Amino acid sequence: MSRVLLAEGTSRADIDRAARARGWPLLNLLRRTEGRPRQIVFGAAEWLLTFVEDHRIAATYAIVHAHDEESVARAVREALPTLGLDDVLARVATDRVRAICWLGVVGPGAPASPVRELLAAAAASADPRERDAADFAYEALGWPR
Amino acid sequence: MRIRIENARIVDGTGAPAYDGAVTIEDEHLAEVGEASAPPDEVLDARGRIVAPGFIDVHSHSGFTLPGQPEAEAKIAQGVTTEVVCNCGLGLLPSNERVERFYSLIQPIVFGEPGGRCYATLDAYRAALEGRGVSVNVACLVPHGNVRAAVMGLEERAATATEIGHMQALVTEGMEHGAFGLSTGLVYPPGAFAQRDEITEIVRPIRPFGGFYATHMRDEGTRVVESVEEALAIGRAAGVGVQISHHKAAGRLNWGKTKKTLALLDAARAEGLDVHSDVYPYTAGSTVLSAMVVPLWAFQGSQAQLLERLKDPPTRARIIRESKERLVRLAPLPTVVERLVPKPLLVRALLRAMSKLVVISSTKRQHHYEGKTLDEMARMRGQDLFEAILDLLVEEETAVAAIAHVMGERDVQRVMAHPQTMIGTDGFPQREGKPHPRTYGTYPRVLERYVRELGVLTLEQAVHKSTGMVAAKLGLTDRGVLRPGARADVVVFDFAGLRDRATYEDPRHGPEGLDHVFVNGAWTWRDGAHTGARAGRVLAKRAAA
Repeated sequence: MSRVLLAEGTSRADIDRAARARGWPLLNLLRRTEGRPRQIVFGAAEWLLTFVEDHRIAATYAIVHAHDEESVARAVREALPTLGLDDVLARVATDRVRAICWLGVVGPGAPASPVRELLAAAAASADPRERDAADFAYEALGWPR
Repeated sequence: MRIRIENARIVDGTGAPAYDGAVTIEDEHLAEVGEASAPPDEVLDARGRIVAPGFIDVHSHSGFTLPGQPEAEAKIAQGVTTEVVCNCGLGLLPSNERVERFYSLIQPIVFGEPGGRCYATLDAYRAALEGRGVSVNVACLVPHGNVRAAVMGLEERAATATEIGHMQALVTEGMEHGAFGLSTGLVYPPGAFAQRDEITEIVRPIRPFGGFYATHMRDEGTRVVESVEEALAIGRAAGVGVQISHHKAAGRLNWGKTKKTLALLDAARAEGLDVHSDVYPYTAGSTVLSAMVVPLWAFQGSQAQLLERLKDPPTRARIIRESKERLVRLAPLPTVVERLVPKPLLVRALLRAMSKLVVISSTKRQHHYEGKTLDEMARMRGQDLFEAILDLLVEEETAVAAIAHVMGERDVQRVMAHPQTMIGTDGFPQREGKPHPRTYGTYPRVLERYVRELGVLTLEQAVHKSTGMVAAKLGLTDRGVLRPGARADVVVFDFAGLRDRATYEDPRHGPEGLDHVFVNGAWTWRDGAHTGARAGRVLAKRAAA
């Protein structure tokens, strides 16, 4: 499983346009409820692409499920504006809480520098918003604390 | 028939965050996931429950027992809906007279019923299983041990070019019949007699089919790093993906080596090799006792010859001597210890330690030894340890399985947490004895201990490693995730109340809290009991485009 974070301001219409242009078949559309974020699911036999409008972190990201995840993730990056790990790390200085949350989306599968140190610092922060952001990121990445 | 599972917490198998919603099963497929619109014929209220794809056991040995135990209760009860069989280079197919002879002596360990038999081809195995009905889906690998035994018997030598050609033809036939890859068991004869180049040639035919190479490596202890290197080299040379089976570091002095082996896997992935591993959530392994103690050369020829060697005094003395030496070689002791401690003392100490870590799990006849350590068994018999072991192997015609407590908990957790590791049981649901509890408790134990209690994985990760990740590796495009149109392999469980009940002392218990299992839409486990449904299929891999 891999995740691709969409850049801020990427709209549902942008996703629809990308899907039409790329021929992604719409498979499922889940409304936002108290217990789930809004999700748009595209897929074919070999792959599944779920766009999650995650209101908890004010961001939309795509979850890629496929044998060849990288080629599907690359197609998303080519079709839509996205943020990578370096982009998010660059945001830490200016938009710390949100960037910490987003590290939960773009961080590596296993604990590694510098994300590991950033999350540890956020988890120990006096600011409760930072601690909440770290909680989200640890949970999303599935890293041990 | 339309069944709606409503008020559920859905973990869809892709690794995506869980969410609330409903799942609607219509005949063999999922009609809706998340939303619910069509009126159902039956409603299952899953309030407080998790609904997930059925677990895909990437490393199973049930292939031996499914013909005799088609309801697969040990696996269905823990939420498994698909089993990948013929792992470790061993299975009921392909077969000929040589293969039949190889396995017949150690029944009933290998067969699920008296009079069990092998099958000439995967198609014949499929026809037998589906003809009788089977409760789980089955995905077969081509077992290298069978292929080598069919062509060369138990010869300890390199294969000739002609023999390699015959073996490749058998592998191709298996892939044409729908196998998902090839497995080796490089600690077991006859697979262990094959060296790297020969194995590479035998693996090559799976490439056009998009198959992968799964391996029980040559050494999971002292030379585990070199063994991973061998597996990766074979994958690279043959141009196929690799699966490290039951990834571990066996032996206290090897604990921690998984840091290095996992780094090797990461490096291989970085260069583009499709490599994964699987793990079971226990610090004990299990296999046949003969593979633990008898040198490989003694297996050469046939099982009957092995028994003769175990009985013949001079040969037996050599086996004992070499087994002890092998044990010492396997223990990577600090040089200073080897210098300071006299060898006889060292050997005695190592044997004593080993004899208390290995527990007999099943025998052919003398069931009173089941559950006893080798040390206890030897004391019961009033014999020296190795004399007792070899006598037992002779009396039981080598049909003795054992559990070895040789792994470190930190290694288990490290491997499990690795992003490319899947969950597999390595289970062998034997009729008799006290088999390893992994056969009955792997998935509940992962969820209860490693998710809920220790937090090694999130719930979504654990489910993904048990479902979607395995399906992607196998190229199963319609299973392993909950999405409209997918096959309705579904499990419903109470995450908060899930309790693994299988123990080493009393392994034959399914978990509490695993309420429902659907296989191809058939309600196979309902309110904690098997319904008798046999809706499984023997799956066929689609050839790569």
